[in-house]
Amino acid sequence: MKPFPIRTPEGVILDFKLAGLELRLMAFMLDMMIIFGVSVLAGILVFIGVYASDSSGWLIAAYMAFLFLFRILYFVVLEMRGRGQTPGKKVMGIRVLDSHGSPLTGSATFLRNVSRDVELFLPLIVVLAPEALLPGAPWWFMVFPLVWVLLLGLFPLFSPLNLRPGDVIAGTVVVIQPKLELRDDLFNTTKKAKLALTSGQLDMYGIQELQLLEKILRDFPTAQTLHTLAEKVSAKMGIRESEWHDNPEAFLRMIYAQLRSHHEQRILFGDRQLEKREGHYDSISDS
Amino acid sequence: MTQPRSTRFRKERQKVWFELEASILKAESEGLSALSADELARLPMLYRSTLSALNIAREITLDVALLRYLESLSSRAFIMIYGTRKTFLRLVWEFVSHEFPQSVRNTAPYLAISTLITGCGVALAFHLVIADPSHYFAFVPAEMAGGRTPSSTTESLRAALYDDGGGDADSLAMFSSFLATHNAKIGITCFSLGVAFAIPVIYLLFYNGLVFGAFVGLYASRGLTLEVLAWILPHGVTELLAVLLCGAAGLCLGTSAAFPGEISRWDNVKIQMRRVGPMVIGAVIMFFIAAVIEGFFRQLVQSTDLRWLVASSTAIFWLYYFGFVGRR
Repeated sequence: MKPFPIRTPEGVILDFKLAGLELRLMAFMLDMMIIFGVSVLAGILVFIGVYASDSSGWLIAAYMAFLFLFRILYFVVLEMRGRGQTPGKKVMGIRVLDSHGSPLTGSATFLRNVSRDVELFLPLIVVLAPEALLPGAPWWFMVFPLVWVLLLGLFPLFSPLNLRPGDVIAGTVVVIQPKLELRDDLFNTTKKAKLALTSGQLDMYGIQELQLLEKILRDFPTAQTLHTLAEKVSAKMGIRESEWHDNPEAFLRMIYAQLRSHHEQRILFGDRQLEKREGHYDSISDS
Repeated sequence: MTQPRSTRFRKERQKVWFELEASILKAESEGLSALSADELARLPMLYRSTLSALNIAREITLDVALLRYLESLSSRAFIMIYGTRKTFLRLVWEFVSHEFPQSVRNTAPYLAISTLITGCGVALAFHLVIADPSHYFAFVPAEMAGGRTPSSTTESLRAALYDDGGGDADSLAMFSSFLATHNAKIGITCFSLGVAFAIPVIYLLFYNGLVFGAFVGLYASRGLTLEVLAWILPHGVTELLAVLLCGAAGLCLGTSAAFPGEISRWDNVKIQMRRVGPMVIGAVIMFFIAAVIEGFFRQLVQSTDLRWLVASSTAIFWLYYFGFVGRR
């Protein structure tokens, strides 16, 4: 997931995450399934209509027009109505965004969706029937456009942000819809500490370790991991094993709470210690 | 142990965030109109205060969960507030009344060049076919000719232009629908191949002109010039214009790729693509209009005079539209 920062008009930079190729492909396939389903349904109706009436030519012409319009308008209208989300994109949790953060315009939406037809179907034509691309041209003349069209089709695999040509033309990106979930403050679920650590001890670890500890406590709190971690931490900070042996988790939470309190106090004074210190805590040299 | 600032910060502010979250979720699922007037009025205030909370949190807090949440909430609110604000119909209207004609006027020199190239093709094929009708096959592929070849009698050629129960008009309808998809394909190919320094575009425009010229030439050699033009032009004006527009777009891209000036080649192409993009969209719509005129109108109108009337009115319409609509 590549980050994609966008500056809001208020001057705050928001870190969006670009959606990967596979998510976008899945969303596209979902949308195509809906389009295909509706087209088949309409086709059955037309088929019945052709049998019922004798002026079938009109009906078929109207059906062809419907297929064309429906395929194009499905993406354009729904993407606009859904603020950058077609039903397929909604299911996959991704959305289209203007790459500068301005409102998504109609022509941008139209361009990125119409050009998908060209990107998908031109390379198909090239592979299946190369002579249809430039009718009547000598074969050597074809090499240049052939290479170009294939490049067009494979473009998303090689472009730096995995963008489609359509996204480049329209100036849009597809990002992951950020999840709205506020998890509990780990600090609040921690019992009162019985062990007061000195600032020398707390300085042994930096902000990176603090946030890694938060991640482990939230997402991977297995007994094995916590035990190993508590062992390392206590060794580095010079804490006796008896302090944590009964309950490594409670110990680590206590460490987390004190570390956070300590480092937040420090950054108030513009003092950000990102990384841990080398070696182990030594109480004699500290005092 | 003192309570960290971030914990207090979260407790003091979270009421605002939760209110914003509720509004966002509601607006996302049911539309902005689902919000009450009061909720709507509070939305910008909630958004700004959340955004400033994010700014502060980045400075003072080390609570990753809190940072993530504020980041997500601000992003979702940002999309809600600065996403598309206009309705689809409004955007369509803006496109039709401003964007499209303006984009065509911006590329007028390229349009002239693409017209010139096509015109050369038309003139060349026309004269060659008039001089010797067997040249027809050099320009029109057999599957496209649909039985209208130099060996057909003048009568059957004429019959094909009018649906007087002869039945030939059906095969002509087939041909014209082929021509429509063929033209649309050429148009879009023109645009997408344009980046290759416009060389394929020049070729395609010229080739398209050749086919058209040969077709008209065949009829002209039998003294049916006016009739065949009356048959082609009612939709042909729109369709050829659309091909020319795509060609102009392709030429514009080609030149921008060949002569990028002071910025990088790729950046220049991107800028030009955005410039000519509306033109290509408009051309796709024009292909569609042409197909509708062709499919429905031509079957109904058999009189040559009426066909000329329609052809000239579409020509006047496009001239007016591209010349005057949306001028500031």
